Amino acid sequence: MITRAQPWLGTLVEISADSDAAIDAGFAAIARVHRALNAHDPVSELSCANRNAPHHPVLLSRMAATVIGRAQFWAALSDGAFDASAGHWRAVQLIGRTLRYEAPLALDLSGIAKGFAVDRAVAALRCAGARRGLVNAGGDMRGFGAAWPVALVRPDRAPVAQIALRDAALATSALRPDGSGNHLHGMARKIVSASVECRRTIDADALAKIVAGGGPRVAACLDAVGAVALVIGAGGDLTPVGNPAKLAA
Amino acid sequence: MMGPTRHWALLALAPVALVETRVLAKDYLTVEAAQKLLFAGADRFAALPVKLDEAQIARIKALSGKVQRNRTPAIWRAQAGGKSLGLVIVDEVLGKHENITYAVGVSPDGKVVGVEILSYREAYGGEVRLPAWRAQFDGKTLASPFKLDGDIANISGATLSCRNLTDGVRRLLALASVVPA
Repeated sequence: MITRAQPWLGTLVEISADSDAAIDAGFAAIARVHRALNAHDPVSELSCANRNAPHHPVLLSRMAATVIGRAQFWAALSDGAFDASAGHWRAVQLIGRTLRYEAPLALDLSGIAKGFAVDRAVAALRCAGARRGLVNAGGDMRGFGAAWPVALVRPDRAPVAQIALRDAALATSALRPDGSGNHLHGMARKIVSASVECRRTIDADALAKIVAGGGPRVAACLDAVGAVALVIGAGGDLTPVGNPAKLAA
Repeated sequence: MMGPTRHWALLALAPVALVETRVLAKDYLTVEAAQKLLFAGADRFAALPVKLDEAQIARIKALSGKVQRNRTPAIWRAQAGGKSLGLVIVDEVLGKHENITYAVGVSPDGKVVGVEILSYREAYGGEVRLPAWRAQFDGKTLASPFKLDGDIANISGATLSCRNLTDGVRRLLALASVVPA
């Protein structure tokens, strides 16, 4: 087993697999997502779409349409608890691959693109012949072919639990250690961290934010993809959320 | 299709008790391995001894906005049949929690060929009281208090920033441009 790490998507991405060739393919997949969907890069496809979609319809690549479509799916199901448009998801119109904004807004896919990139890297690893592998993008991860040991830590980096991830995805949304400057504006007061396990990392990524928000739609969202969650409270308490009987279809 | 025997890792947690702070150390690649990954076509990596003078340090600052502290950076020229393919530069960045050694490949026209992390050190831990829900697991097998070591190398839950690394790469691009071609 070889493990390598490279900086992508604003974090450290780590890939473990049997061969350097497979790992190269995994990082290449991550790089493609990074280049297309980075909102901070003025020449990315996403930035281009953000500039044009308020004025006229924009034809997206398949990749961008997939991720924006999934972001919209979770925005609708969570009633805006997950929202890549910071409050304007209803004004985002995606029909097929054609995107149009009906209000001034800019999509930021950083809350879901990392998970998507992990999924794409896993597909690339399998395609390159890897029989087991793990892709970890700063805590959003997916493993296959083995039981991968994973430590869940609090935002202050104290370990609270260990799990074995097997053919599944895991993502965590955490309050920053000082509790301020938090990107999760809707985060429930008594939750410091929420981890979600399901099949695809793109869903785990979005769901971790929804569970951390603690709204009334949490259970319905988890059930939609047969996900389970673990919430770490301010007092250090751990609460499992979700119904394991509702397995992913 | 998922069968009914689906394994849910989050429902089979091993809780963790008092854990001391410790440094998670990961060594991914040797310098030699990173050189070969960055320039697969090279047949030789020639060490390039460089001692940066004040003017070069100032030029790096002007180009990248970052201060190059190491006056004698570790640089190799990747060569194939005597022809230069580019530079490999090994550098270190220090963050609030982390300490990263990395290698950057720079093409002759000043573009990043690739970045590989050589090693990563990060502090984890602190005192954790026994979780309240531990009681429901009593009588079942509990893992001993775990340590963040080689056994558990994958971590979810703390923010990992690589801004220092991104700044470092920008600084090394500037460094590559002031090194004699």
